[in-house]
Amino acid sequence: MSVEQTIQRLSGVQHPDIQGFAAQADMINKQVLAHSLTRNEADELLGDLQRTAVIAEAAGDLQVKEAIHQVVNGLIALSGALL
Amino acid sequence: MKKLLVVLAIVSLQGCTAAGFVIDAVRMAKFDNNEYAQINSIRTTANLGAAKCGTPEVMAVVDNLYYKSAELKNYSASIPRNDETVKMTAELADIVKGLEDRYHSKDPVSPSYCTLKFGLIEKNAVTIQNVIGAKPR
Repeated sequence: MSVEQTIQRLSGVQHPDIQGFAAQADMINKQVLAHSLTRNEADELLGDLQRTAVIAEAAGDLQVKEAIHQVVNGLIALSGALL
Repeated sequence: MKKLLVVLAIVSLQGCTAAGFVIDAVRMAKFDNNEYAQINSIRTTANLGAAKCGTPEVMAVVDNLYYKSAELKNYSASIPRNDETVKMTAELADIVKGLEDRYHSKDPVSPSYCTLKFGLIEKNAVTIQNVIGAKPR
């Protein structure tokens, strides 16, 4: 499943935090595809998404943590290939 | 008789769960006005600050966010039985530190990075605010 498909699937999940996260991931994905970020900036933002997963877990929301993990690996591979 | 035993087992399990919630609520740090005000301030600063991306005024917002996130991290760490909030505020402070470091480096900062970063800070601040706001009074 591509990054876009994963993000699209997460956008359809009836959970406001997952939808909010999917919107963030979608924006990062688009900026990576448009080469609007440097490699360092993309790496930092992807690290931030992983920190977001830690925050979601501490907040007791394991669904959000799982959703973030599903999409972050794809974004890491994409930014590694494009930037 | 078997049905009665099953019902009793279910009731006793629910009792354990309820007792667990009560114990958690008693052991958890209570709602703290200052902690709540600080995370609300971070959330609002990030929300309004995103509009400053690409302008010279963004530097002041970044410095302000950095100060506020470090302040909240230190404040929450001093509250007993506050482990989960401490974990969250420490992660948030790390996210903000990345922004601070980048704006204080020699390299230019892209507007896309700035907007995305402010969005992530606000999103996480909302999550933390909801947790802090839901603490027992």
